[in-house]
Amino acid sequence: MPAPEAPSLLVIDDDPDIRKIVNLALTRLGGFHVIAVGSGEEALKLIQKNQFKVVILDMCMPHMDGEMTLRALREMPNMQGVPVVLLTAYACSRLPEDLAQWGISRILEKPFDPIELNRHIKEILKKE
Amino acid sequence: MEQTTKPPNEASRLRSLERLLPAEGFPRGLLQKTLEMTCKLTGFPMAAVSVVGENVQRFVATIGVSECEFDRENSVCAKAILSAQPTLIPDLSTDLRYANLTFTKATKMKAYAGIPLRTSNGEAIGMLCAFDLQARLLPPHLVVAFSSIAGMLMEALDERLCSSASENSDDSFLIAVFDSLTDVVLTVDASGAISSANHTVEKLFGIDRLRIIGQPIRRFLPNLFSEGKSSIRNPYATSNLLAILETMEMTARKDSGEPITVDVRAGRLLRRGSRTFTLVVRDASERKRIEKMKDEFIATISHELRTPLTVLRGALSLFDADLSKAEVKELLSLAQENTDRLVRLVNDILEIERLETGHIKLQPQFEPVAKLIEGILILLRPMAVARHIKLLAQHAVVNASIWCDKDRIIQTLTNLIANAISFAPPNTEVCVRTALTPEANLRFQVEDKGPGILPEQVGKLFQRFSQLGNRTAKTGGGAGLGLAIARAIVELHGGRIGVESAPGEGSNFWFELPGPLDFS
Repeated sequence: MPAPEAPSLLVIDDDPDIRKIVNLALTRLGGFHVIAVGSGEEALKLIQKNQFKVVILDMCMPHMDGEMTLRALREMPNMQGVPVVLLTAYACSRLPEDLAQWGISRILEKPFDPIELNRHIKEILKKE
Repeated sequence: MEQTTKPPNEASRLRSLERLLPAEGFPRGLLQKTLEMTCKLTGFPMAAVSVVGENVQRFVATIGVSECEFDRENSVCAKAILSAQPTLIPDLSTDLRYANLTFTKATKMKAYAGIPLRTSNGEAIGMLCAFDLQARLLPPHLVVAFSSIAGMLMEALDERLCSSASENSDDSFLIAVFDSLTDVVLTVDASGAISSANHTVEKLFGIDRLRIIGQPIRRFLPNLFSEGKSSIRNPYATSNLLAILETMEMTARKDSGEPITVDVRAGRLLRRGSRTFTLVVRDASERKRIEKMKDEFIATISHELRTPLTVLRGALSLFDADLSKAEVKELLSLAQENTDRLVRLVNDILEIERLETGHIKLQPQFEPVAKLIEGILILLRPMAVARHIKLLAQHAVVNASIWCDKDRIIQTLTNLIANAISFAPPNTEVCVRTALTPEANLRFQVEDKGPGILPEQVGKLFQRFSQLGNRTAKTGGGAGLGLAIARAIVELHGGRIGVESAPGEGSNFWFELPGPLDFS
């Protein structure tokens, strides 16, 4: 079980199996608190009441896709400067042009290795 | 008055007449020389080349008589062409066959000697004839020579036709070839003006082919000679050889100014000492559309493959971590499910390809409808029970058998029913109905009380990879190909497929097969 003071991460991906894997990896390998949701809308609701250290966001989702979610996140006061890791399913998927401006720390292409995801997040948090 | 009848080959005879003696390029000199020879040979003072048209007989060249015409019924020549032999009449006014004809009365002619002008196909287009106001008979020893003159005239006319045809034939043949092309073929002269165009310009550029000639090529292909781009360097500004071998894509302008994407291939040739450029222009919109579809298909397949692969890769990586027994068990089941998902996806991709390219042949026979559906329901009942769904079947026609490929229809119905079960809320019914339509097709219908489908999504539903966001579920087809496969199967049977649905009101997926049906 993660320590009570462990950082909280938000995972947004519409595929329940990927949420399970990412959740398990970040909880068991990284010792993080993880909340995983299936849509941008759910994420926005959660963010209103919770503070997260890193957001892991899937780009390709129905209705509200990764880019829309990211734009909405960045408009929320408690999301300013929170690092975002993008998960993409294909190399040619649409990405915001200026990645730095949107506070994107990493882009991981599926199928990614959860161990690598874990390492990326630790690096990001170390820099903070 | 004796009725003149027409020769049996009248229609082709008239066509030959028109071909051999056209109004344009009428061989007056040749006919006149023939008549001079005729008068000399026969000793008759008057002669004429007489043609027999559809309604009238006309002298088209004469010596000693005026060029005039008569109704076919009142013409000596119109009767004479009916005979294969020369017509030799010493005195028309005393011959009962000819005495009352307008020709005889009007011209006061007595002696008539005529040789039919016959084509090599035996069509008599008219007569070569000689006349005298005095009654006399052409001596028999001159008839053969007179016939030879007529024969030579016909040969000369025929030869003339062949040589004029061969003069034009290369050009007209090539023009016909270019007009049959679906690509636009243009030639551009050294000043950059369009000097010729095939018929296809009318379709591609929306301009009459005659109106495009003389216009600057820049108007239609503005980027053709733009410098510094990947298009042709201006061949008029430099002496560089124009040697474009690859096709270039560029934006062209129609006559209306509307832009279109085209592929252009240019070549250079020398024509009468000056440079001419040939351009082959092809509408690229169909190629672009197919490329876009292919890109989208690959992007979607790639996405659909990457998702289960991510889960598999993740599960394998995590086996090393310090996990509880329950967590390991969960990983194993995730890996198992996603392996199945990959297998289904790969199978579905192959299946839809084979169905849509027509590589699957149906193996139809009469199948009892109720029994076929009951078989499917037995297989799906465990899934329905697990989700607390009641599965029902209702048949409006009993004992019906339908001509279909059993395995393919089972596949289609299984897909529709499994979809319905996975989207229906617990404690509701999924009902499979069959009924006859007014067109005597058999309609299969699968009704659920699920969330329903938005009208704007209905159109996309039966396309490849169309899984709708809120209906995403790993049961059933899984990769968004299930309904596309169902549609392909139904259409292969000559039937149609559709859905009636509204958000919050459930969905009614149906398909109709034309049969035939058997009720025995």
